[in-house]
Amino acid sequence: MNDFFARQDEARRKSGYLVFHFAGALLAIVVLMYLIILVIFGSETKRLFVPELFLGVTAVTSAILGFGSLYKTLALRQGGASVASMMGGELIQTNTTDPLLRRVLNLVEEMAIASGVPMPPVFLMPHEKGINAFAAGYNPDDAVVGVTRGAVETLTRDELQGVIAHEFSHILNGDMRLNIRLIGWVHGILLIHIVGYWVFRGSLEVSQSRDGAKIGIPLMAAGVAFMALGLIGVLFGRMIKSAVSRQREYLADASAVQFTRNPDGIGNALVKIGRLSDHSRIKHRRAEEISHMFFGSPFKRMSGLMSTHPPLVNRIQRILPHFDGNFPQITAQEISDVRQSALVGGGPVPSMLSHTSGPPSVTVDGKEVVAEPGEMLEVVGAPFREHLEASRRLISRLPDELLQAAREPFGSRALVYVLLLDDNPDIRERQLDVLRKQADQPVYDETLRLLKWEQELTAEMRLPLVDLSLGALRALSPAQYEAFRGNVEALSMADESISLFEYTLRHILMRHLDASLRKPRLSVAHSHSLSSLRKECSMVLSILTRHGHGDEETLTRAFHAASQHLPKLQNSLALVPENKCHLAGFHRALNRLEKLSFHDKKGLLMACLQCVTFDKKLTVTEAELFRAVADSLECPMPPWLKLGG
Amino acid sequence: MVIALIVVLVLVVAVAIFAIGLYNNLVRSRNQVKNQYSQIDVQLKRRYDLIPNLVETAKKYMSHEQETLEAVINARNSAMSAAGKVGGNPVDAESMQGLIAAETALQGSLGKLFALSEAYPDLKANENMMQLNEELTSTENKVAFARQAYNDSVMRFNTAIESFPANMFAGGMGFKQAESFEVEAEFERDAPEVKF
Repeated sequence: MNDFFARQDEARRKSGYLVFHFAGALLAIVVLMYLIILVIFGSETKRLFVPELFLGVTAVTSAILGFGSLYKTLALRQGGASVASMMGGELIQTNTTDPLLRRVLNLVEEMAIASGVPMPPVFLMPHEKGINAFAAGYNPDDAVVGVTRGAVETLTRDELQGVIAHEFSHILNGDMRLNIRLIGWVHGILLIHIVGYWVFRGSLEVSQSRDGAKIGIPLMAAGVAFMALGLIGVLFGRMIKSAVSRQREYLADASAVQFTRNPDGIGNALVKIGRLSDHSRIKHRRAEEISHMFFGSPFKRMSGLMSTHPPLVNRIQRILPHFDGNFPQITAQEISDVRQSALVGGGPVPSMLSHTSGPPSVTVDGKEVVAEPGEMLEVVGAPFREHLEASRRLISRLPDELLQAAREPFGSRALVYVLLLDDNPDIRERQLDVLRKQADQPVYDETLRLLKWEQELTAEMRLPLVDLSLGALRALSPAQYEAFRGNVEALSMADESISLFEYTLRHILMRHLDASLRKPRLSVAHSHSLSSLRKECSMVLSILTRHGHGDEETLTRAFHAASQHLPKLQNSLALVPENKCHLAGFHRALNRLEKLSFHDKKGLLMACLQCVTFDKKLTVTEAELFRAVADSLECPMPPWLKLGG
Repeated sequence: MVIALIVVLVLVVAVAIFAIGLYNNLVRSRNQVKNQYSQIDVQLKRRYDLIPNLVETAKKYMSHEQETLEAVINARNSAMSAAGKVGGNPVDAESMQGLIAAETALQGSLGKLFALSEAYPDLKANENMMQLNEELTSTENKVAFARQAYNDSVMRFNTAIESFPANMFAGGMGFKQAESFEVEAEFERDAPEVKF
């Protein structure tokens, strides 16, 4: 299987191919339309090619298609939350007390920490009794997970975990970007059909007036032609959409098995879909638009070219080869058992399969590092069950007060302030002073209260806590966010020498929250070439190299070793002198490097790993700093295993 | 003729897209109001759960203040049912006004309880009471914070409804002004604490 970086580049390439497909569809529609109009209006001219007519048809058709797809794409780029509310989803509050909903959020929390992405908002579709779920959003920053009431009430913890792992794999594999592109284009073609319908209706009115008949009839014909061509286009569009989607579903099922190493979980969830009388039905009237985002097919019966999901039995048999194809009716006892076990919470950890291979082992407690940088990066965007268990353990080790704070908007602000406080007492005093002056009294008090648990906070808990807080912080209103953002800025400006780690935490927070709470940036997704960003690469690598200290000669050797991982740039990278290494430069560099292709990001991350492990030792802080840098480059990295022993 | 057709078509499409965009924006802001309310709801429920414990503890020390204690419980019950009504549809101004009235009453009676408790040093020193008191304060801070976010979203929603050209059809499509959630009585409860 390709690694995360290859899959990301592939997803982007695929959406590039789609543009070609649809450009072809557009051309076909234009030519056919032109011929039809020529037949209708062509009685006056005997020529086959009338340039102005062809130009006119091209302009109208592409304007409609362009409008339609642009409009839809922009609407969807508002983020997954807009898709979720379109489907009638209700946001589950991160501090909910309902045991069944709490269970869903716990599973999503574990999954988010295990894959190193911010906790996504979770939406409940309260009126849907079928078992289904979806993931939506343009990128992990605005991703949301949606679950139906049926899924929450009938699936056991393991089954639900399988379903959520399936949805996370869509998020991690970049499927959502592709999905949104697809919806946009199909919508553009659909609009041609709709406009044809309007023209047809209009022409009926026109032809009723006395002298309207002369233009009414041709207009009517043109309308019908638009309608027919639009319809054919939509059919083809949906076929492409479905073909792409079926492939993605198999991939996501397989990833879910890797992720949970528990084929019974996702397998039995699929079996339950077959056993429930509502199956995976979604009754909402707009379900068709996002049909391919769902876990199971939202429609009762649909097979062949138009179905967005492979047949249920095939999916099950790929996961559970011995499945016999029987779907006995689900019993009331099973459903009440699910509720009962949610009330008790937790549940036993299911046994693992022993024959599947685990993630490469990396010991990160200051001892010798054995793995190669390339090996360590294998887990990016593709976490294993071990990561899931590690994150479950980590959550259980978190001081309860801090965990509760991370789950609601009020406390999570204070928690972030705590995380940003510097270890140096002088700087900390200045930072607290800033908070006292700038922040509200209650949140300042809360910060001081949470500080009591700071002792129990270890370095590897900080990024997961940020990931969790991001979920709750999204509930801030824009005005509250601006105030919070101002305080965070002020905290890190309190002293220029704020540590690199704290700085990177801040960077992660702002990057994720700006994307969902400020107006989304509508920059066209173009990628920078590695060679145009050589200064930025030098800056990031130099700062990471210098972070490990050592004499200038060792630093130069470490930097040189790191630059071996970027063969394209080998000769043009230079260690930046110490006085030029500052956080502002680091910040600018990270922002620009985000635009690299994923192939180049992989090289850069390997170089970064080389920088921090050159001394053959990886401290917890270095390890977490590396994860933070990876996150800034949109490469979610699971937590380190065996961190700190 | 072709040009005229193009112009008409483009205009029709542009107007349609604009109208759909306006409508979607209204729906989005309304959903935001609902989502922000549910955050208040979680905290209010927590608070309604704490109050009976508080009264139970206070009862042991303040047996002479039966009336005040009962008033708190009654205010808590009616606030809870008012909150239940709002929970279904926070965009409905009328039920929100009901909740505001009930919450104001609850704040008032709690304020009275805390003011009276000043006269019972044993109660104030009770560990359980101190813990409940702290938890209540922290929950109230959270409610206040969630309310602020909710009011921001209400303001955005109301502005969206009122601004031209949405105001021409918003009413007809069932978009009505939402009510912001302001409770005035909070200072009464904080006042006695200033002495420390």
